[in-house]
Amino acid sequence: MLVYIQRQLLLAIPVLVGVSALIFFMLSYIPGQAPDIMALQSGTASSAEELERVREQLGLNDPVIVQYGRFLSGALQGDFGRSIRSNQPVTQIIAAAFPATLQLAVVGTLIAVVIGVTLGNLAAIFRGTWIDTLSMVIALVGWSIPNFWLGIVFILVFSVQLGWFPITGQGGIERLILPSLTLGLAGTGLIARLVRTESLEQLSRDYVTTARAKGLRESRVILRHVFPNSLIPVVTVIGLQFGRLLGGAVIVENVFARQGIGRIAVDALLERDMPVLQGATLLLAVIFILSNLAVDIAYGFLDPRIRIGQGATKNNG
Amino acid sequence: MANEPGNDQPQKMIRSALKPKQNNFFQIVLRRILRSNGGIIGGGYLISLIFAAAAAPLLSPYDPIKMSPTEALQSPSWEHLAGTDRLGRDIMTRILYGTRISLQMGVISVGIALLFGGLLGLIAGYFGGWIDNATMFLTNILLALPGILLALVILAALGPGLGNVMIAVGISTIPNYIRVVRGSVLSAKESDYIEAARAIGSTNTRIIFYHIAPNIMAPVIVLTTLGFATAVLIGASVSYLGLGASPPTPEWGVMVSEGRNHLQRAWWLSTMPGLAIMFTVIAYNLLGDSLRDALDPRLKT
Repeated sequence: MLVYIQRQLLLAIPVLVGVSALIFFMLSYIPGQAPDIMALQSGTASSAEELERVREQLGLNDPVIVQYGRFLSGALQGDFGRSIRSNQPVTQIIAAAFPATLQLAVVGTLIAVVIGVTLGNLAAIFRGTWIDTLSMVIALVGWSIPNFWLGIVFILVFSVQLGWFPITGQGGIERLILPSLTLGLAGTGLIARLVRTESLEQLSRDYVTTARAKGLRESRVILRHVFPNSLIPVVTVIGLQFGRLLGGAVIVENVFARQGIGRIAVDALLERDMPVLQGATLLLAVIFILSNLAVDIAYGFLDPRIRIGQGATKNNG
Repeated sequence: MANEPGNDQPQKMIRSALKPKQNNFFQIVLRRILRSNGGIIGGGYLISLIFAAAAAPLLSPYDPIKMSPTEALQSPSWEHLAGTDRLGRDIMTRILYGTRISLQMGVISVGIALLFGGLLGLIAGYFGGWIDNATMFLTNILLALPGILLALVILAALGPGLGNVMIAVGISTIPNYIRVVRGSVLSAKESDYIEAARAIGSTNTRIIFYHIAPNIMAPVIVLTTLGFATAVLIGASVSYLGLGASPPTPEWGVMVSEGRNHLQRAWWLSTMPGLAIMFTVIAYNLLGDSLRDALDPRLKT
């Protein structure tokens, strides 16, 4: 098992380096570059020579590969430079925003799993009835609904009309419910469908017939036997969904005005504050990669065939 | 949501195997789509969407951009089916004109993704070796950023604007196409007919485009249809964030965002264009699902 985990960790390193390079290069060649903005703001850019001096000072005249090396070694030490706007260290800005995003993504994932698994199982148990149809329609709608709009509808109904929740901001559970519900509902679709397929598969297995033949009540057959088995594929999608939800958090945070990583990233993009944008996107990418890694490792626990080195077959499992 | 295959399925398959393939295949697929509720609803909605985009000026007496302040912020009525906005513009009209942008968004971004993703997938899958490794390494890197975030990073490099959003969404979905096409090529290239083609001396280009490409169409068609859903969704989200279309444009995401500040007074401002986005995405998803069932009954979920 340890060997398996080590291998998965090693495989993740080149991807991490690649992502950091991608983000660095994409965000380093942008019109309206950092030094110009900085120089304008500090009022030092009175002449072309001044601008040149600032560029030199920031090391922007070095070959780009040298710049990337500097960025990477800084990033490895937790230093992403300073914000162009506020001159605060990027690491500080991100660290302050991270808990809000993590909260949102974790609660959102939980909601997605609970609702998705319930819908999927209901659909499978009552296959072909209106319950099945309804569950799958809800799954489809959840999958198709635009996040930002669902958030607005929630605000409209629960905050403006009913006055149950504060409209925006963060802190306290009452400000977490609507955003995480918005985020979670988007994730239910895929989980519900997958669980339905898996449950149907399980229901046709011999052990279910055996359990029924023993005279077990149907509720017990389902809760004790079918249900736990239908959860296995959920583990795989959670990793994928977590990433999707991190992306969704970017939107949801903006709708609900939560100061999370996503909000910071979008603000940085609008203000062309590239160091902050680089730091924020890199962090989200790292979380995404780590969550996929966690799924791979969890899979190794669940399915011994995988960790005994048949890495290639794991996608068929 | 998918219906059961008819009892005459096996007979049909035998018949289709005996007759010349092309014509019949499309007929069968079309018939299967028309037999599923999802196919009819999704397909019907999308056809009327195309019609609405083309005939928008005929369908509505109002102008989507010109302001008429005297009629500002009216709630939905027979005169203004979806109400009017802050500047007195008819929202239904703006939604109708917005279908053009939504369709454009889908066609251009899916086109980009399909072209580049398809080509790279074909080449990587067919040639294997280091070409495959390099392509897949790049793909994995792109996939390490959640879809919308990748689109945002690309957009940061390109600069905001509706056209750039289409390009950014297109590029950000390329890895999905690479993965699916490559996977299909890997299994297709082991087939006997490829070996036969090679034996009679066909060039690689000919084998890729004449023999492999047509045979992996099924999953690609499904992915493309579902890709429209993703494109419309991400495109509208990015415009909502203020990075895509700019305000006078009747783009759905922008319209939702414009209504965001008037929730207390005018609920219809954000609600109506949002419904348009949702229905459109649902329609693409329904059609995609029904296509999947029709093209390959084995994949049915």
